[in-house]
Amino acid sequence: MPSLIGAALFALSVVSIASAATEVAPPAVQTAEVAPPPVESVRRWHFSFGTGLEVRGQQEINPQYMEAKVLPQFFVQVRYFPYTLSLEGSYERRDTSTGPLSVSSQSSQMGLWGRYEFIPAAKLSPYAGAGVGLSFDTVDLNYGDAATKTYRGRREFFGLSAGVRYEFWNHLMQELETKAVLIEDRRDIALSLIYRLGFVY
Amino acid sequence: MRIIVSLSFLTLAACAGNPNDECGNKFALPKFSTETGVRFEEVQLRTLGSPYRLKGAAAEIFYEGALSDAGYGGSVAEPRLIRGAGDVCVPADTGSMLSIAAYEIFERIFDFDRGIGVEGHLKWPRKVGVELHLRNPDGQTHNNAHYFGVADSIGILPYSLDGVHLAFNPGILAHEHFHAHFQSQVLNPLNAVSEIISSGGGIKPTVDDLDNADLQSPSGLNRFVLRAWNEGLADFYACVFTGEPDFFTASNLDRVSERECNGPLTLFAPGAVLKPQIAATGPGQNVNIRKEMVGIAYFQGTLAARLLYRIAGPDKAAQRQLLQHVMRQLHRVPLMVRPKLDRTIMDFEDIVPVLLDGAKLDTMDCVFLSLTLSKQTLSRRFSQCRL
Repeated sequence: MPSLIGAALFALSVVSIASAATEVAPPAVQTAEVAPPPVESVRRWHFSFGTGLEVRGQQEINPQYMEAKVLPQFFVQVRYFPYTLSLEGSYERRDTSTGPLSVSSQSSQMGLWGRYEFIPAAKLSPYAGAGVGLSFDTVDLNYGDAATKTYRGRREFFGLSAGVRYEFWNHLMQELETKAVLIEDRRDIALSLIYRLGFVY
Repeated sequence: MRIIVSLSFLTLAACAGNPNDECGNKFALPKFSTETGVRFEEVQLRTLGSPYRLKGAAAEIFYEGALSDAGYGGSVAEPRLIRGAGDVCVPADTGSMLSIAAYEIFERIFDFDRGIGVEGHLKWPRKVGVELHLRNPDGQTHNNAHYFGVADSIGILPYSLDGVHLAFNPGILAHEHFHAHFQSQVLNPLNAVSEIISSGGGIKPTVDDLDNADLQSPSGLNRFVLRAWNEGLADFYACVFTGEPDFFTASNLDRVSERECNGPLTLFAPGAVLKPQIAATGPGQNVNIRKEMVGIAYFQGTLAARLLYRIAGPDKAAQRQLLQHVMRQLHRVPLMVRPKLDRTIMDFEDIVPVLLDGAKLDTMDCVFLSLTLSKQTLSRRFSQCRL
C-alpha cells in the first residue's frame, strides 16, 4: 500500500509539473499573430469512451529478451481542457504448460490516468500524463488431474504516458500513445504502444 | 508555486514508494513425493536476495541462457510473479516456476553439502541453466541434464515427456551437482598433470572427454572407467540426498530402470571388458562402439552406487555418514589413478578400496563387498572381511 500512495503522489507531481511548465513559459499563444481561440471554446467539458489495442513489450524471464503482447483495452475519459482524467482497463491472459504442469494466469488491470494537453483547442493535440492502478490477478496451477490450486491477488502499478489525440467528424476521436508502466516492484518497465478509437460528447 | 508543490509530491513519492519485496521469498511450487504424490505447497527460500531475481548464495539461475566455456552469459532469470493471498509469490508461467523450483532444490543441496562439510569443494553460488537449448548432430536435445566441467555449470534441457520435469526432480539435479564435486576432486587434478597426447592437436584433451578418447590406448579407455565412477557416485549422492533409491523413475527417462540404488548386486567387470569392444571396431563404427562403452560404464557405475547404498543401509543418518566419508576420500582417487592412467586399463572396482578406506564395515557389509569385488581385491584390501 505505501507504494500505491507513492505512485499516486508521483502521478500528481508529474501532472502538476507539466501544468506548471506551461504556466511559467512565455505566453506563446498571446504573442502569436494568430488570435487565441475564444475561452468558451477551449474550456469546455468533453466526455469520451471507446476501445483500444495495446502492444505491450515486457521483459522475458531471461531479461535479454523482450516479449510483445497485443491486449484489448477500454477507456472512459472526462476532459476539461487542458486536463483529462481517464479510466482505462485492459485484460491479459497467459497459458503455459510443460508435460502435465500447466500455469494459467489472468490479469485485469484498471488504471486512473491524468493528462495535460499542450495546445489549446487543436484537433491534433499532444499530451503527457501519469497514472496509477491495480492489477487484479488470478493464477491457476494444475498438475494433470493430481493437483490443482488457484491463487488470487493484486498488484499496484504506476506509469507515465505521452501521446497525441485527434478529433474528427465532430464526435470521433483517436489517440496514439506510448506508456511506460512499472508494476509493483519489478525492476523492468513495461513499454506500450496504444491505439484508441472512441466517441466524444 | 506549482513547481514547489510538484517537487514536494515527488519527494513524498520517493519516500512512500518503498520497493520492498512484498511477497517475501515464499513461493508456490509443486512438490513431489512417492508417498503423497504431487501437491502445490508454499516454500520459503532463505538465501534469495529478491524473488524477482534468481541469484542467491545457493545458485544463479539462467533461463534459456547462452552457455560458453566461460559459463552462462547475460543476466540471471527474472521470473514473472503474482502476489497471491498470504503474500505468496505465485509464478505466472511455467518458465518462472521451473526456474524457481531449480533454485529451491539448489538451496537444499547447499544446505546438504554444508551439513556433510563438503561445500568447500566448490564455488558458490552454483550456475544453473533452465530450458537450455542444446544441439547435437541429430538435432535439438531434450529430456536430459548435463554438468559442463569447463564452464562448471549445470544445464537442464527442455522436457517433453509426461513425467516430472527435470527442474522439479531433486535427484536429477543432485546427480548433476555431484559431477561438480568429482570434477573438482578427481578430474581437475588429473587434467592438471595429464600427459595424454592430443591426437587432434590444439586443444589439450581432458580425462573426461569420451568423444575424443583414443580407443586403442589405456589412457583412452580409462576415461570410460572414470566416467563409470563419476556416474555411479553421482547416483549414490542423489539417492542419499533425496532419500529415494529410484529418483530417475519419476521423470520417465529412457534406460534408467536399471539404475536404482537398491537394485541387485553383481561382480564388477574388469576394465579389460572394454577391450573386445575395441577389437570389434571397424571403420565407421566408432560412434556405436563409444555408445556401447558408455553403456558399460554407466552400468558399472550403478554397481558402485548400489554397493555403497547397501553398505550405508536404510538409516538416513548412516547414509549421510557414509556419503560424507566417501566425499572426503574423493581427493585420494587421483593419487591412485595417476600411476595407472597411461599404463594399464583400470578395473571398475579399483575405486572401492580407496573410498571405503577407514570406513567401519560390519559382517553384512562384507557380504555386499563379496558380491561385487574380486576375491583378490577383497582379500588384499579388506582384511576385516576375511573369512
